[in-house]
Amino acid sequence: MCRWSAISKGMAVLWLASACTALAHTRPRYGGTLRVETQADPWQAADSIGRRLVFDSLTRTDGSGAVQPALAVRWKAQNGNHRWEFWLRPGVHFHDGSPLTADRVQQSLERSCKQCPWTSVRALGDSLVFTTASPDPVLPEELARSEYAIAAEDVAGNPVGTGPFRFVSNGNYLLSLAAADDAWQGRPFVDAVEITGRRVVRTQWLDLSAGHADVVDVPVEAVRQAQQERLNVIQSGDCDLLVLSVARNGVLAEDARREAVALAVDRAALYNVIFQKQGEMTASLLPDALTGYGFLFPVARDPARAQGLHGASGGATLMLVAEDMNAAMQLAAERIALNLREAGFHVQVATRSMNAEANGAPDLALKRIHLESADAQAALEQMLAAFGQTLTDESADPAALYRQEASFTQTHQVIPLLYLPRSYAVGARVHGLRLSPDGVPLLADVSLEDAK
Amino acid sequence: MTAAGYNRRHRMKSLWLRARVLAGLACTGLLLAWGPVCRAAEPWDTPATELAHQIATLTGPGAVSLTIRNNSAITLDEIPAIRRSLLNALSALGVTARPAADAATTVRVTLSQSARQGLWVAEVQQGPEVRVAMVSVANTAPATKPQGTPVLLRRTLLFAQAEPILDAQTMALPGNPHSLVVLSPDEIAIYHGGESGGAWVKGETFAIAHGRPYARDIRGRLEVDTAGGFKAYLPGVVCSAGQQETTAGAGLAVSCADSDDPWPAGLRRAFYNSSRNYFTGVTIPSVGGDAEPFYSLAELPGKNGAATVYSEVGGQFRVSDGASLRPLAGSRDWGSDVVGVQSECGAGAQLLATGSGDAMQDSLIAYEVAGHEAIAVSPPLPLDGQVVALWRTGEPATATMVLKTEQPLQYEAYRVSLVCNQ
Repeated sequence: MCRWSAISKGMAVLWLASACTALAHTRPRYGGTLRVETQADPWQAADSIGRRLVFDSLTRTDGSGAVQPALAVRWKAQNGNHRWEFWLRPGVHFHDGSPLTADRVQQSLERSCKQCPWTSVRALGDSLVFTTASPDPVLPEELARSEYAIAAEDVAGNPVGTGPFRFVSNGNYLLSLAAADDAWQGRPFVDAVEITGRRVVRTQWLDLSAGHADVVDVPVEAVRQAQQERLNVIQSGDCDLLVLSVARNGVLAEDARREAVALAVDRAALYNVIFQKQGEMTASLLPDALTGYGFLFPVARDPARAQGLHGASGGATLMLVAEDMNAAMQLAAERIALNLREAGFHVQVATRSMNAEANGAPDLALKRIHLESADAQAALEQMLAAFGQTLTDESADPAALYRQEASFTQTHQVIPLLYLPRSYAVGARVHGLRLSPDGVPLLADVSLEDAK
Repeated sequence: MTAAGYNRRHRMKSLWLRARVLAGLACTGLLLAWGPVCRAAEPWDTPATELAHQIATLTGPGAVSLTIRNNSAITLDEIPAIRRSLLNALSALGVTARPAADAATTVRVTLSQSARQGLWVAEVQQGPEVRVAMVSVANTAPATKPQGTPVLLRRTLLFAQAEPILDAQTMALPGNPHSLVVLSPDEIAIYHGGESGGAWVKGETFAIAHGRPYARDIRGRLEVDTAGGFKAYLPGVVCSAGQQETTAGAGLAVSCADSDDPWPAGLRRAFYNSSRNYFTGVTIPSVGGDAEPFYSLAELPGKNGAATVYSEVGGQFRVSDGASLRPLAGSRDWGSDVVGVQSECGAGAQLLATGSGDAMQDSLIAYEVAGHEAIAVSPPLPLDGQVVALWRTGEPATATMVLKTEQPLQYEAYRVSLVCNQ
């Protein structure tokens, strides 16, 4: 998803570092071990950096958001988009050498299906047949999402996929992967990838500077600092939505109160001060670069009107929780609380543990949602699903998407705040690092300068 | 909301034509009644008319104040034409533009764009109520065109496509003296008729079956013969194409088979490592000395003696004079691909190498090799992307260069030649 934003700014991948040297393009070399460090767990989440290297999905989306074949080579909709058939790519094997079959794909999809868009999936020869309760014109786009990646286990119980790297081990937040020599998309250039998770950012940067790491995180609020420290920073377009989720109960049960919250929040302060002018302010669920209509959602605050809508009561104290524990999110939560107090609300910023002790859902939750889909309709479906909603109109027409988005955001259950990019710092020996459309490093295309 | 077009060049063209045809028909009808108003169709007439219809549905006939702002890649000098088209279309529907003080209805039109197409949005405000109308428009971003530069190195665009191009060469086929063979990882495509500047028309295509997955930095090359056939070399696969007589007449037949036969490399043959992206270092005939694995070689049978330059996998460039291999001075900032061409200029043989650009934009420079030193003999030819292939063609004076551009992402095959005295 991030890609459009980058395109709209006239760049697919933006090198921010001042230390970037001008070199002629050379062919990638094979060999070496790429060392990656990250704040996140490298394996746990479906869209984690490790899983993205080991598993493939039936489809993928390219930088323009168009869906492309991956493990499925073609597909066909039938019965008014109620029935979809996907034909598998022949000759693909899992990393343990076993063939990719429709039965195994069916098993994988059934395991991963929690809030999935289909009602049933079954193997039919070398194809998969999906049926859906309602017409689903964007099922190919949805199947590109990492949560529907095709995973299996070998006889030892280790995860196996069909991606460019095979799983070797994972323990103490150190994930080891090795190049899959017979990967259907081609063997990666590096022989191995070691990903160290749960690493403090400052430590990551020190490791990068000392040559102990090749790719490290740069939190979006620290991009300027990284530049000042002359790190070589690569940045995606905007793909993480910072959003305030508003409960529809208690003080906030009334529409006017939730609207008052929306009008009270000062996005400009979040953007300028906390997130250091990275990304863009938004009041829409999808970025303007993707839809072209984001500007129709006003981002300006109106504290006077917020006070008017809130009224005089507002007795109960609202609990505001930042779901992400990092410092910038905590600061953002504090800033929003300040805005809401100015509008007459009583607000307490709580940690997740405090909220858990309070034994209830928070009134206000500050969340960061990763937008993976690169197609506007599939992206909106993903965003709505994140808040328990579904598309009500199957049309891909921009006006229909706008109406649905406006209809939902006008309930003020969700207040979009900022769209943020993802950033990484890259060592000097790393060549060819690009980011996926949703801001994940494409490590299979990386080669190392000193590889032999 | 109606889609007026999408980001495809041929679609854009058809829209343009359709707009002109419609406008022409309309003008024909209007000419008798109101000749002076009739004008040539503007390219924006179709979306402007569609948006005007939606606006008029919301406002009804009457006065509106109209503002237009541009959030898209449309250039400023096109805005007056868009405004004119919109005003004309609104006027035809009984909606007239007036200063804001004279109109109770405000129409704000934003020329925006999404990831895939243009999007024109009208916000119609009557009192506190704002309603929205939209039309999709064929993408307004100008198409990237190759830049020609009248320098010593001349490049001519042969073909461009979104799919990878490994090599492309023109050749004469029976019945089609101007044909183009385009080698892609999974397909050989034959095009006809584009040599004199026209569009290449796709003819036959031949799928390339391969038993093993290709390496990630896949390479491949064509070798055209004089009998109307060619060979295509890919990692672990060789395809042979030749003329075949059938009941329907002569035709091209292509057969592919797994093979580790050596590829043409300069004036020699070289074994290619099919699980990597380089040659093993073993050539036929051997050049003398111990050759390392290499990405490319350039043979320079010049007036001052023959030389072979190797672009080695380790990043070094070495030159062989037939007896020994020695480091080549002056090659410090070269890329991985080199090729030799023969010309009427200078020493009679030049080496083309990708020069120092940045990570995304290469340049191409011609060199001559004197002893163990490369000396630049042309100014850099700036390129709009990365050189991903640089091969000899059947003509000694030319090379094929494949460029990968990012915006839009596509592969462009060029014929490169050297021009003296310019």
